[in-house]
Amino acid sequence: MSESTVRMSGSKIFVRQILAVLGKDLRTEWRTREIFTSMFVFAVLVVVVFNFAIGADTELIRQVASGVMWVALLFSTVLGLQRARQLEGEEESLSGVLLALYDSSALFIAKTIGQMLYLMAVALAILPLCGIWFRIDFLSCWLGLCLVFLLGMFGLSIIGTLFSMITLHTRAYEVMLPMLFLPISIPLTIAAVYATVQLVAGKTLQDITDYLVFMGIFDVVFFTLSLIVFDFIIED
Amino acid sequence: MAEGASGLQERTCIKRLGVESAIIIDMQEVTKHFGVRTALRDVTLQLQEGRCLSLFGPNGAGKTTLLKILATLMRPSAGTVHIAGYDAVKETAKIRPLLGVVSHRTFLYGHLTAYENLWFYARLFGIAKPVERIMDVLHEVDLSLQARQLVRTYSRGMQQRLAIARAILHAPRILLLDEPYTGLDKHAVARLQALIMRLRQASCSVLLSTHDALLGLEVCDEIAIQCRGRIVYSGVSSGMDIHDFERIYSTYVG
Repeated sequence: MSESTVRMSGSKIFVRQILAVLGKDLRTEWRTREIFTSMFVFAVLVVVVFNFAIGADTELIRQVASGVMWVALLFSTVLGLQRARQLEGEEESLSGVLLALYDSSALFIAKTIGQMLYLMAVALAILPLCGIWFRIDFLSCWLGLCLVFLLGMFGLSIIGTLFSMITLHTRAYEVMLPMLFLPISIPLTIAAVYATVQLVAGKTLQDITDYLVFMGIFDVVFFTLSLIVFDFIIED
Repeated sequence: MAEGASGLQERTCIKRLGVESAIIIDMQEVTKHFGVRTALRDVTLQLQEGRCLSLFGPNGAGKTTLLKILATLMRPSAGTVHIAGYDAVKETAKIRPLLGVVSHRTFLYGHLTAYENLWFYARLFGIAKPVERIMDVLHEVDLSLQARQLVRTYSRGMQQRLAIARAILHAPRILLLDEPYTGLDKHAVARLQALIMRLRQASCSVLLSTHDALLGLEVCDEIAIQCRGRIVYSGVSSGMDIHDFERIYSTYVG
């Protein structure tokens, strides 16, 4: 590299590159609002439709509300990933980024964090709506919910980003991504739904420890696995 | 590994016109298959440091595939590629910072301004004084006044100029240019030619593919003609005029 470049340790370069990719993605999203809008509109539509389908049965609402929220988040993830891929693919910008990266894992981590931030924004936006429509007091169990949502959304972001990159160069990307992503994410989603149902029903964090441990292990395993295989995936 | 790389560099040092110069690009019998289709067949190509090679050939000859393999964006199916002594398959991380690449696509983000795009790449490359460097390269491609415009509002030619600015931002040792004159007006072409000459004087090696024989010959030291995935002709370009080139081209390509 040229003399004009700063000499830094590998880890500093790695962190700087993660922040650069993340900053670029957030700046683009702030300007276009395309990813958040598509995810949010879809999530709200799911909640509204289910609200009318369930009717006024309070007990039934309490049982299915958590599932509806997680289904909305799950499919929103697919929408967000597809839109993000379109933005990256317009001028094959990902190739330019790869040429500049010290370690391509930086790209994976930045994209995962970005996807998680979009999901958090959508979750924060639909939670109050769900609270109103489904008549559930989420505030009474906010700490537990935060933990469940963080673990769940982190897992969805990891496998979403991983499979988004795996299917990046396939012709039927729009079909391949959900086909690969949805089945793998089902165990995590089921655990997240059960944990949320129990919290909403008044259970404590201790009561949902098994679910939290499962989600934590799921996240760690897939995160580690993704970091190991990402180099092979992203290369031609 | 460092020992291996330096050993290879020593081995690839050759004497030419009384000046010792390292071979910075060394492709040996490279083949690339896409399913049943073969894009490159036993391509052997070398380029010395600080020299410019123009690659000519008809559409579908495999020029872009060759450049993508050199850019480490594609792996060869067979054969070996060494860039600055590093293996282009196993040591991509060491090679990539040495490369500046202009492809058919610009690698730019349309929703960011020209300045923001270059700032992003400057951060990735860890450029010490990014603001000064960005302004320098924007001036180099005559886009200083449009630096704060969104790239998607640029014309094709302006985007190509910005892609060139992106490619030279980190002062690469090797510049790979795939059809760099696409969309450029006369003024921009002249600036690009001058830029390539300046980069060569600064020991930057340039490999460019083009259909424009006049422009390609103007800046290069060596030429290669590619047809149906093979390098069918290679030689020095000194003393060669456009008529000589066209005669050679029609002999080998038809």
